[in-house]
Amino acid sequence: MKVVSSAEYCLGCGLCRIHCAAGHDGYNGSILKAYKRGTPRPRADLIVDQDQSWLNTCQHCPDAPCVNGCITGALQRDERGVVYIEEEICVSCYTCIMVCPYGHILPGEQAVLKCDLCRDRSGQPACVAACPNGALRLVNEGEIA
Amino acid sequence: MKYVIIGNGIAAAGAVEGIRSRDRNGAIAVIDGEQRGSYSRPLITYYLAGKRKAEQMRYRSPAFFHQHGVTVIPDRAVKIDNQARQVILQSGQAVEYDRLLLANGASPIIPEIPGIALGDWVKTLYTWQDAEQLDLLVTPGHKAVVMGSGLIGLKAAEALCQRGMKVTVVEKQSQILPRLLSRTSADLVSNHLQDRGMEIITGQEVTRINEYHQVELDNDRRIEAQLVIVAIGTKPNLSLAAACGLAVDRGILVDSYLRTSDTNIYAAGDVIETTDILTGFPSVMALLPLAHQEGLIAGQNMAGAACSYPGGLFINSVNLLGMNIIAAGSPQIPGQTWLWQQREQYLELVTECGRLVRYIALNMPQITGPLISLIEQQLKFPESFWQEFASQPGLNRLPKLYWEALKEVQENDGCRCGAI
Repeated sequence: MKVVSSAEYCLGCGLCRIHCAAGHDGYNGSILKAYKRGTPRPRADLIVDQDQSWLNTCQHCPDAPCVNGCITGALQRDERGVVYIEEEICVSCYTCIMVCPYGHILPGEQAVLKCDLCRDRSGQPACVAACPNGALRLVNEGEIA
Repeated sequence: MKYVIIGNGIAAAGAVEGIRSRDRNGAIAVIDGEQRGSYSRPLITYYLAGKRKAEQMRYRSPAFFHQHGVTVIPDRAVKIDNQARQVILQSGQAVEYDRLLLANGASPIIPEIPGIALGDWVKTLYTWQDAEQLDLLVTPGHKAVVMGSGLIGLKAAEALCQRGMKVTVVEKQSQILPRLLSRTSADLVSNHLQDRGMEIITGQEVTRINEYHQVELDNDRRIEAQLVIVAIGTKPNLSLAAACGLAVDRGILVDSYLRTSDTNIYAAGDVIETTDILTGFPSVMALLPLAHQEGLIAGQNMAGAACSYPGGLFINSVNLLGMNIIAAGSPQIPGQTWLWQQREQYLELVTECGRLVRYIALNMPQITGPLISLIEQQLKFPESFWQEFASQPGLNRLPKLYWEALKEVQENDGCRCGAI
């Protein structure tokens, strides 16, 4: 399972990142709380090229270099195949950032930041639900991205 | 099938995962010589710094071993009888195996210097127990000397600094982190550390440690020290392998399936000599991600697979007093150098015939993963590309070709060992 981002439809508006930040860190989806009272921390970067943009989402690789390389065991995979981080265990050594060929994982203060497909939320991941132009889709293993 | 793993570190955990991906029923025994359970070695410096508590040191939990049906034997292996296919333990117990994995790691090198007897105040920092003993010796305001400026040495120095000690690092080479950094980048890191209170002396050797709590240098300087940490490097633990006749050089020699010269015995992790995929030369790399990968592959092969291991790339990420240092490849590799620097960030790229062969990145981690992938894929670009990339490095500067190549890798093969 992963979110795929289509550069063809991406407008570069960044709503995905805003909803991502609001969906994590206990903001419960409230953009106001995340951006007014908290420190919004989106779990993916928007890559803006000269002529296109896309969200650099985690591929939740079947044989994930980040999970294999994690020095503490903080990066784990759940039963659905979602690669997520146990933030209390992470020491921010950035080994996972170094071994991710997508450059998806972002440095954070206590723990690194990465996509967890909003595993604590029901329904679509926040970014997919928020994309106004259908540029983000949640696909399952075996589906054509 | 009976599997026995000597060592309970990172490679052992990888091997358990590898074996169980192929064989759900075989008996697995892990011989845990340190008798501390599965813990993450790099965390010992975090423990010393007071940033990790004992219960946060686990690499794999006891539940992991239970779920995978692994028997952990807290004892030290003293001999391998490869005729009888038995491992003899210190307690006298003999453990039988069909497939054996040597994942028994490395040990610190102690140089031959007058007065260096390890004891009350001259220590190494390699095991959790070492960190516990050092923890009791740390006294804020007291002076400490760290011999060696490799990763362990500098992480130890950082921990002591954070605990309020006055720390001097002595490096015999002309720069710190000589295996990782170029001269220019080493100077930047060195300045960063010295600005935060660490004293760094390069190009000087320790000639003696005297009974007056002094460390004597080449240039006759004497440094007061209530504590000395010896961290000049590590060497694979070869005695078990050598005593039973396995082929060894600087590490245990293995084929591309991580099998030793005995077909029933495999080896993985810091104890082996493997191939540096960039130079093609044999190398003892002792890196955590490689140890896990090697364990995983060796484990699968012990259970009947034929996964080949191409060797590793020398990569490291380390944070020192707020500065992140990531380097791939060795500074000895020649080529055309491209530099970029902005405030706290620094990037040094080295290309050869248009291909990236190594890099050093200070405080810019996000770009480093794709750069490693560029090295591994050996993608070739014209000089103009590298010039432009180095003028404003970022993920958005990577060519479409790169992302397309990645997509192809992802669709064709999820396994990085390339065999399953």
